[in-house]
Amino acid sequence: MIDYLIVILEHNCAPFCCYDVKDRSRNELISLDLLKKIVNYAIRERLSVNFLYGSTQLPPEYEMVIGEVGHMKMMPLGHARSYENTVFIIDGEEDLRHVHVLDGGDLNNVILRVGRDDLVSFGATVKSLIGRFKRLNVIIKDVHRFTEEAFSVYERQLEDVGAIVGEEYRKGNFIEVNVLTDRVFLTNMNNCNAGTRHLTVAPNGKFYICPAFYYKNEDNSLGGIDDRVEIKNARLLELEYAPICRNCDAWHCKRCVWLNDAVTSELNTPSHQQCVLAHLEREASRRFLERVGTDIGINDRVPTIPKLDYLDPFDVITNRSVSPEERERHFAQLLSKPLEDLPVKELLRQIYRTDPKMLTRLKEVSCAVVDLEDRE
Amino acid sequence: MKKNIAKPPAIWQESIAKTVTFVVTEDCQLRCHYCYLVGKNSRNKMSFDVARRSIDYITGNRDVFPEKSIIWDFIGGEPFLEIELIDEICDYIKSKLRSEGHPWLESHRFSFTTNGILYGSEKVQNFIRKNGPDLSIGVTIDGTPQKHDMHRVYPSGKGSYNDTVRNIPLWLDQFPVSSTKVTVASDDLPYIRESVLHLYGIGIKHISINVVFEDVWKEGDDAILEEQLVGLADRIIDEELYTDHTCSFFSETIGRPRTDNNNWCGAGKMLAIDCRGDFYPCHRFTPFSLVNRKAPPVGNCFEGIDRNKLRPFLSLDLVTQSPRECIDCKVATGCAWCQGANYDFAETDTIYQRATYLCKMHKARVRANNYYWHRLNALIGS
Repeated sequence: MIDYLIVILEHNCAPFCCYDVKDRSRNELISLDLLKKIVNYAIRERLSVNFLYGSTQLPPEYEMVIGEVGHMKMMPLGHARSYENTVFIIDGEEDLRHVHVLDGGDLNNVILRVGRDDLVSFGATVKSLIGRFKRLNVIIKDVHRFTEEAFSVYERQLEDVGAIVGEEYRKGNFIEVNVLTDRVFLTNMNNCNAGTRHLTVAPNGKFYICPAFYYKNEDNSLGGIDDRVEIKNARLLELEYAPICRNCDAWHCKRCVWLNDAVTSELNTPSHQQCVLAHLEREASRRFLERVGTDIGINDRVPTIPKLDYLDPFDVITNRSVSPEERERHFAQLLSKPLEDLPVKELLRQIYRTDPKMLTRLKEVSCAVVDLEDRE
Repeated sequence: MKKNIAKPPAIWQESIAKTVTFVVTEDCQLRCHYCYLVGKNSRNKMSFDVARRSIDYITGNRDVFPEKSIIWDFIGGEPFLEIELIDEICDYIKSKLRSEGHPWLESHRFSFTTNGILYGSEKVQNFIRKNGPDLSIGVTIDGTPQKHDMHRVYPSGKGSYNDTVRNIPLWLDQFPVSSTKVTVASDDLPYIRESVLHLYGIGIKHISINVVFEDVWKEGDDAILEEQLVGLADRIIDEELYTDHTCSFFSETIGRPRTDNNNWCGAGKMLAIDCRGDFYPCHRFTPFSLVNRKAPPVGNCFEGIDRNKLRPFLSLDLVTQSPRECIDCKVATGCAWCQGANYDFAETDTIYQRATYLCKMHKARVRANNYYWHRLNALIGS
């Protein structure tokens, strides 16, 4: 079910995720009429809106229309014009020169876009931002370019970030850094959910699965604001229809369907690089929890993260030396980890409440028919 | 006395060997109506350089190709149109395996699927004499002259039955335990029974037969298929042909609820190389096989395999690509699909949408199959 819209206010807006803005010379601002139409649509559909800003100073009448609907603003830090309901985007040196903007007012959520080649200073960048955000969303811009060497750099930098954030936690400053802390507190997949929880509207008035699909090919839209939006094969956006992801407990992973499509040609299949990065982060989270959990007294409230001997679930899924039963046992154990301390009777009660049919099916597969003649 | 029921010939190193398919030409003498190779042409032929680079890559990367055995498969179009190139390729493979001390030297096959027209030619026969023990050759013949010539025709429309059948005795003499592959479309359904019996009559004991995956089936076709197969079942049983003949329409394992979540098709586990040196998950994904979609290469002989492009194929399972009706189907086993056809027919660029055009045909086959085994088991005991 769609909960919110992402509205690209101008073609040349700040990218907030792993895509790049194509043809930056186009400075196409959304029309006021279209903006009104989108806001009206969002109100009627009870959707909130994330507005993506660029460098253009919007006319006051635009801001008035934006103010009519529940929203968040996402804007480049270098062109910051608002503080309330705003997520700031830091993308490169230029934006980093404006970090002082974050010092005024309440702490905001911040998106930090980093490329593979910037990772050597990743830990230092996070350190420089401490005290200036309450949540830091780290976005790696060029996942598909990662090599073994870059994985090693990232692994080391995550270790540094773990130490930095750990210090903050010990001081009682419970900040969030998505690639480190999200996995600690999640018990289920919490992905981007493009196309299933949110859709994007571009300045041309067309819907897209997310901004990345607009910048990839704006002719390939899902329909216009006045049309019935249709996503063909929409099931492929759902976790249940992603054979690698549904067996994975890197629950913080973006599971970016655009990146999947770009690298593997299938919306539901992550690249090797995507899986390894998510598992390096998962391992950093595991170690972070191990080190900090006792110090801050959360070990009895959050499940431990099991140590894995692989970085890519695909390797397990396709490993012929692992029997289907072994594989099933491994993934079932992994995915049910947060439930394992629950008493069986309580678990069965919850299954009954969620889906009584499931109890019938469980009995069918687990309970043998009593044979009165078989007295053995 | 309890009689034996014949089994189809075992597939050499099945599910152990890697299959690498060389599409040596996109040309064929025939223009079979049901053929999925929609872009046949006389322009595109593989060069030896493309073949050599591919072999170098495949034999030189054991981490990517760890299989104990390999089937070097040659198709087209019609592969025997390029027998000289094939001969050169096979010589190169053998010398390469020998010089590298590669384990495949002792565990490889050269496999061919041919329309049989050139089978008796001197060049092909020389090749067979030279590589005999390493060869596996399947000749395609569709049945009676009427059924065969209905679809397997030259560009002029003339049927090819006579040009194929004259080479069948030689083929069976050289490869006695062979099977032929029969394809059935809508309009030749009424000829199935006689065609299978005809093929048995000319000495082919094992017949691999399937209906096409395409959207060609008309109302009532399932009833014709069922009636044909029941008639065939009666003849096979009454004439005790089951003791040394097989027909893949009848199998004890089909028509049950599914017990696993495996993909039916092996696309991605095999590798096809087209004339340009592009790699594909199977030959059904090459450009001249696709009607509606762009061909999705998974690498090429110059840069190797892009393993990210193979991930969707290797992680594909039944449930993810099938509609609920297929997942819960009580006669699911044996229902086939072709990943390339699925991709070509899908609403979007995906291999994760199963085409189900043959649903009714499968169910008809299952009913006839149930009849066959019910009769046979009653006769000889299960």
